[in-house]
Amino acid sequence: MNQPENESREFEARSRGLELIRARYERALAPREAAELERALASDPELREFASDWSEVRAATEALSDAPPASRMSWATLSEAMERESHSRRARWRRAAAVAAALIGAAALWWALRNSPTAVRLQSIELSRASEPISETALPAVLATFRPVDSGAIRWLDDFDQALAVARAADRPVFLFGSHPTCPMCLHMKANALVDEGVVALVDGFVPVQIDHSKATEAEVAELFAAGWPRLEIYDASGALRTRFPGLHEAPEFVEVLSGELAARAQPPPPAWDAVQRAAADLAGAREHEASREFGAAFRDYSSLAASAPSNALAEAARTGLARIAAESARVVLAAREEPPSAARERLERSVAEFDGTPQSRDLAVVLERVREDGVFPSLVEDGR
Amino acid sequence: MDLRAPVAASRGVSNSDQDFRRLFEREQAGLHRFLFRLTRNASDADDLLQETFLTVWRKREQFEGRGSAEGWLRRTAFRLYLNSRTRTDRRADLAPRGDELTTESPAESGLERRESVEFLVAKVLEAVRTLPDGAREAFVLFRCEGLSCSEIAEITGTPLKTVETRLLRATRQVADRLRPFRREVP
Repeated sequence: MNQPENESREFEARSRGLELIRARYERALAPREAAELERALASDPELREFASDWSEVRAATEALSDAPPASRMSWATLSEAMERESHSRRARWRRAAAVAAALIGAAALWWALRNSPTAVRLQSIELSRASEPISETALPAVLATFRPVDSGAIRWLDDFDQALAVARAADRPVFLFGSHPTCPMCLHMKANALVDEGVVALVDGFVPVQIDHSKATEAEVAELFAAGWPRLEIYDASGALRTRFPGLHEAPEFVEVLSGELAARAQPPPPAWDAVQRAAADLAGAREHEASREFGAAFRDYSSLAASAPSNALAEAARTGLARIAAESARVVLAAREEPPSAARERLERSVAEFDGTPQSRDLAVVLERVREDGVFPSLVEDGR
Repeated sequence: MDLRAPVAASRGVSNSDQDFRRLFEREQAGLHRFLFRLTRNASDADDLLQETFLTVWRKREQFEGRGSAEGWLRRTAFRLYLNSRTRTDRRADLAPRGDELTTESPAESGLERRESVEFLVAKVLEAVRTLPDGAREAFVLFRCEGLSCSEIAEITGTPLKTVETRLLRATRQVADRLRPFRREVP
């Protein structure tokens, strides 16, 4: 027999001994039980000690065995408690179900929001500018190479409107010489006063335009030359007549009139023709970039011109170019919005490259990113507008 | 109710309210007495009695039919009693202590009190109440409920050896406590 089994037997024997000690105060032990108890007491000192204590303790603790007061609990009481418990459990289940439903709903909402297209806040693109009319005055191509005096001779323009456009860009007045083939005074002036060095030098401050009225009707000729032959008039850049001095003039008189007009001009002096030509060339270059949809380069040139153009007209032309770029970016976004996602993505990819270097490129890139991620065109919010 | 009686008649707890009612009516008195012995308070015993039946009813589907329903009831009741005692002890730890066993000797406490049976019964109860946790329950169940050591071990979930040790120690401690009043013990 192994040790655990021995120990187990000892515990059982002690338990049996304890119970027999208790029993002998309650009933007469059978001979076999009495013999068993004697053996247990002989072999277990602690049991003997217990037997000694028990005789006193048993008597003293008799009161502990008094019959307790009757229970006040009835089946009706317990039934009510069970009913409350059922209600309570059902209520707990309902609450748990409600909480679970709320959690599921919140999770679904979170998932939907997480996967819904996110609104894009446009920072530079103004959608309303897509259809905004842009008033612009086209600068004549001749401006890039025009000088009123070339190789010591006056370089006459032959179109009054063109002359006015050049005058606005060069910030100068228009000097108009109206002639007719049958007018001997006109021929005389062309051969004398208008080739005079002093006169030619002063014409550099004007935009000269010579109008040939040979195709005018008699009535028109009569009206045009009513005040004298030839027509000699000076207009400001807006087209308003400033001075009219018709008739034959020799060089000294001419110098006097032209000098007076230049002296009467308000400060500052007009820009140098070199600066006007450079700005005009830059403007033309920007327009070429714009026409090639290289909006980044066009934006750079227009911005530079708008800040440093030699005349208001040239600066305004540059600002108009910037407005066209902004309008085009808005048109790109609006067009993409109306297209299927794949076409929109292609358009936006192309546009991001075209507008690289412009303020609008960031907005286009963000919209493109949302289209790529969400697979649909995002809703748009215009920042602060 | 004698827990040592054959359990076949009471084996099994049905889901039906009618069966549960029969179980309640059969076990109520014995279980109440069992709890009263432990708590020494009829109201506490009633509360624990209701809690015991509610717990068993709530978990009736977990009863697998092994052992007796009575044994299950008593084990459940004993666990609830232990929980309740733990809560009471926590409260007692926070309250000012004033219920320790008096150390007055018979000579100090006056002739009338010494001769009072109530006084001596109170001393006995006090001696039992101040037994260590575990020892008190083993002593009460052995002394008052007439349970065997193995039954106590099963109900309290304690090894048999521990039950015996606690019982020996508790008996010795109660005897020592009551020794000064030996002649006055009723």
